[in-house]
Amino acid sequence: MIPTRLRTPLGIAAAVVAVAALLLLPTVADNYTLITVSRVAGLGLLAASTALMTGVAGLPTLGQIAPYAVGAYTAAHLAHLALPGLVQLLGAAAAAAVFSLATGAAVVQTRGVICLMVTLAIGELTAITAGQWTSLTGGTDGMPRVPATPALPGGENLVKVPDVYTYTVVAALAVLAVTMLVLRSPAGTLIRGCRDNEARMRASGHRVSLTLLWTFTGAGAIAGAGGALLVSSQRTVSPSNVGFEVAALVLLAVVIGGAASIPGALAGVAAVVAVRDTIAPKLPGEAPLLLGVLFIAAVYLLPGGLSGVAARLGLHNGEAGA
Amino acid sequence: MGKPVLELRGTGRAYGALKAVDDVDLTVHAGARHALIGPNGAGKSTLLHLAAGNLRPTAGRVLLAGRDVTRHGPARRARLGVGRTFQTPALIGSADCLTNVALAAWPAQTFRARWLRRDHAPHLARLDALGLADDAATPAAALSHGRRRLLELAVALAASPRLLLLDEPAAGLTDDDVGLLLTALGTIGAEVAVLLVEHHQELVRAFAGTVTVLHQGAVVTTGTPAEVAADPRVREIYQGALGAA
Repeated sequence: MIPTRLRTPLGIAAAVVAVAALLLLPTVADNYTLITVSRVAGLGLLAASTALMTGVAGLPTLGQIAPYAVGAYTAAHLAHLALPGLVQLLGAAAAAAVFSLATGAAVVQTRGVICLMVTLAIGELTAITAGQWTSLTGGTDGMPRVPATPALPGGENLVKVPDVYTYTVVAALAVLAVTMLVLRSPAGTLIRGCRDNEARMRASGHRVSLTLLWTFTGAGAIAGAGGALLVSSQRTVSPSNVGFEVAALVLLAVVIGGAASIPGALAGVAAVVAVRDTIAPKLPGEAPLLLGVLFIAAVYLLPGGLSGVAARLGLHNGEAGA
Repeated sequence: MGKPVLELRGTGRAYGALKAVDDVDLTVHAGARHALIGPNGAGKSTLLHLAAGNLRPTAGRVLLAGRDVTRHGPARRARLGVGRTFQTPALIGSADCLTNVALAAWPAQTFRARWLRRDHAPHLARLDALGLADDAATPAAALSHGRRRLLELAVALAASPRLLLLDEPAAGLTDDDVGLLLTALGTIGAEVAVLLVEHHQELVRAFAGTVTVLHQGAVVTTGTPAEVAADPRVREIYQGALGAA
């Protein structure tokens, strides 16, 4: 009934194995693999944010790239001030939350395709702003040399690949854990209620738009944290990191993962990035085509996405009535 | 008669030149069992939407326990004590029956009660009163139509409203389910005033103490079921409706 919940013993076991594998990866994997995975951590939070809005709250969005961008540039500036990674993460989340609160009033009044278009416009405007506001963002060059900082005050600078990897993965898992706890709480029930039947929620006295606005703000904070992790892992940020291609890639990942499921969204990101980085280089110039085919195949072959498959395998409960 | 709970004063709703509800005066008293009947297109559901706040009137006022709520939306009116059901049951499909009732009770509760999810007993009792206790853990989407109607009634009662608006609760129900519904309606306390839109004549006769007949958006008459049944104007309307059909 609650799709974000891994409730079956098999599902809990799968989650534990996945987390343990991520944490133990530095002992077996080469640096290239670690760099790739740590760069996906930020994208994973962006996907979780998109899944929260699209699947859990029922507002399909292409615009979570905007708070992701706000978070990334905020983190880069905080890194230039030599503030530690944790402060960058929290600062980025806070800035992105404020940004989402400011833009959310318009978004939560819309539904369906209109919502997709409004959020697309917000995402595009943010990317354009990132390219043009040179004094703040470095313009189209971006901010190419973000200094290395420690994760916590007084720690060692995150320079070595395994250290960067561990920081980004642990931080991403922490944000995801908080997100899933909130979605398991009555707040999550409230959000899903607004998605399932707005007329009922209003008839029962709930302030639907306000609930959606807080959800949008929280989703923005998650995306902003993702932007901070992007900067921590690649130590640069430019408009190409926050453009339409990334937004579309992440929405694709969320659809493949099964929109209402946070773990599904993460699996979707892993699948999409794996396809992009392993198969696409062998077909130069055909990457968008390949992702398009993947998208169509996912819609036809995986109703309910990867999380729907997981539900059928008994990994979690899936979602009744959707 | 008790104090007025709901008052419509010269209330109207126009769509361009079409007046779906035109200059209606209607009072529902505390504890009333008030039915709104009339041929198809008489404006009954529109009137219910105007009372619940789903539609704003284009003329006149809506008063709830003497307070002007004309400009209030449905959520705000719900918090002032209006519960309602819809022609098609409106439920949270992915949530189980208990959660549906708990969510409906939420705005009337304290923060602690909501957050800690303590004290499910009143919600379970609410389900039990409508014969839904066995389905407490069943997702609403998995229920049969008849049980969805009963669940929506439990949901509409969850926040202890003083006015309950029911939009054709018997629509699509089997005779057995209508019997269950009537029993369920009988359990509603006298502190709740009920305004019911219904075509099902036996249900109206068995349940309503007051009947208002609506025709072409206007009130024809209000009275006891017997008075209304004896009114020649009402007969004419229904015969006309039958003749046209």
